[in-house]
Amino acid sequence: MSEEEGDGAALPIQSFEKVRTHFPSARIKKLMQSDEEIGKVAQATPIVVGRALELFLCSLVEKSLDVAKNYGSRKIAPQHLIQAVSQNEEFDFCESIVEKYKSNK
Amino acid sequence: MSEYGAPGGLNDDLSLPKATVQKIISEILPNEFTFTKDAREALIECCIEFIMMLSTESNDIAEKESKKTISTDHVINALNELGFVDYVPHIEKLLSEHKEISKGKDRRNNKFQNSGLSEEELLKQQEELFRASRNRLQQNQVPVKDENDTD
Repeated sequence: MSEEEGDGAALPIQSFEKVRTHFPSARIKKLMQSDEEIGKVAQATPIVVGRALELFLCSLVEKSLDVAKNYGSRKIAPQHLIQAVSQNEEFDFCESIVEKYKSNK
Repeated sequence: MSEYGAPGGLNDDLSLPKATVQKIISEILPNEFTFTKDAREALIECCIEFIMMLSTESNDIAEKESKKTISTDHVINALNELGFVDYVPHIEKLLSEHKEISKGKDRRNNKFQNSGLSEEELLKQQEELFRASRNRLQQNQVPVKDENDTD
């Protein structure tokens, strides 16, 4: 897999093009509004949030995959996820979540 | 600390469909790679947290603009604020494609614009239709109130 950082020409997050499955926007909307602070959302908003989630998933999966490859493992385990998270600033919010799975192989 | 309902599947409504997540993962990964069960669970938790974080930030941005409804623009700004700058070009591409499709639908549905007739001609046609309909009514001698004819 090529590692092109900051390639201005191509869209970042290459595997996004491969994703054909989408999250049901109704479920996304429900999740969003489970927080009482969240009020009304425009019709297109849950769809956009769903797609952003797909991008997030692509990014995190890609990076975890790279870690697993470095360890010569075909199974991507929590430890690989943890490392991917610690290596990328935008995943900081995930740190406490993945920490819980630390001892799990 | 997450205040958005218990993680670990206590509330299935406040989670994401596992099958969908699994399908997307398999679309991304090369065939010979898989996630362990625990890693997949961790992934799903991260996804939910992502949504809540994005929602909160979008909401804050909307509130700052005194808007009651969270729009896609608010979400885009939130993505930038949260450091997911890379995602924005993909989202914007999506939105412009969506707009094209909507425009196409509007064009199809707007038969008046598409008829190629001027407003005057359209009014004339409308009057003709009313006249014809009134004639039909008189012939049938149905005691119908005229007011109800204009839709």
